Amino acid sequence: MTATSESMAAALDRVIADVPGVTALYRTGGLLGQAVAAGKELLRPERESIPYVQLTDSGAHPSITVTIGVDERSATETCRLAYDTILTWLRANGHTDAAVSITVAHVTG
Amino acid sequence: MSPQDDLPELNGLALEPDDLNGHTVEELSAYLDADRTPPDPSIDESPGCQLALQAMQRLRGLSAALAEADAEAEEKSARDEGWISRILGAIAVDARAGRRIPIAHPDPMADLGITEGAVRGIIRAAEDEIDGVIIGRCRFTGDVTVPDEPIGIVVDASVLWGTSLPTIADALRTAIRRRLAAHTDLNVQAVDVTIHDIHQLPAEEEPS
Repeated sequence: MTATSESMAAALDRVIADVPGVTALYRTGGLLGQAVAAGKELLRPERESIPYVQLTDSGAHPSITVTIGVDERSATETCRLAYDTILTWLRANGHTDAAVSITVAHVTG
Repeated sequence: MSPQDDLPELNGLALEPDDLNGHTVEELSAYLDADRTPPDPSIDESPGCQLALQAMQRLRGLSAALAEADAEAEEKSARDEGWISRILGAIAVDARAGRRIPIAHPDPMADLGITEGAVRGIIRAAEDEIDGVIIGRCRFTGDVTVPDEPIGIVVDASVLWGTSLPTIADALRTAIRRRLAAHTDLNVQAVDVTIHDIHQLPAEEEPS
């Protein structure tokens, strides 16, 4: 991930975390993907974390993959709201044709 | 039907490391014992571990009371150890992410879904609504990955002695249906509940 795409992913992390009903963001990609993320984390010069959002192509047509946890309100509604929120943010930031994939991996309560 | 649905019996608690982010059920149990301290991000940030911890915590509440009831009957206690192992095995299997179940959105470009593991967690949490019920194995019939496909839910449950089994089964069916309607787009046609075990709590002492 380039510095630009990484800052975009980090911004998306914050946008998604602020969606009502979202309780957690999880790393995508199973044990291997998480191990790679953990390895990258160790190599970082500063104490900052790898974004949870997986982003390919930060230009006009980005592809975004995110895994979330939600609270006891409707998981379907929270997932749809997260999608709408991401799309609104992307359009406001000049990314008009994005592919967004969201997976709910945990429901609290 | 997923491969895990074909398992006639769980092979102990031997699961792939990826299921619980590299952790074992025993490690998660120790983490609960330690009141989740010191915090372990590899557990706290894993949806599979969180699903398993949630279910194990509910199981502990009931099994502690059962252990007290069984203190005078070693044979029965040994039998219940097998029961608890089966439930723990089912919890660990449920924690697998499994298949991705679609969530509909008016935008045809939207790719939204919920993991099979999360849906099993939703079903299992119906335990909270009915006193003394613990859900064991939970399976789906029909292809949950196809939108609007008719789906059946099959759950095994354990209940406390003295409760009406039809009443408990009805309450569990209703709770599962309500929870799935709230959290998923699944087209649930049937919820089948099989009561596998009945357990007895200690009688309350008569006031003197």
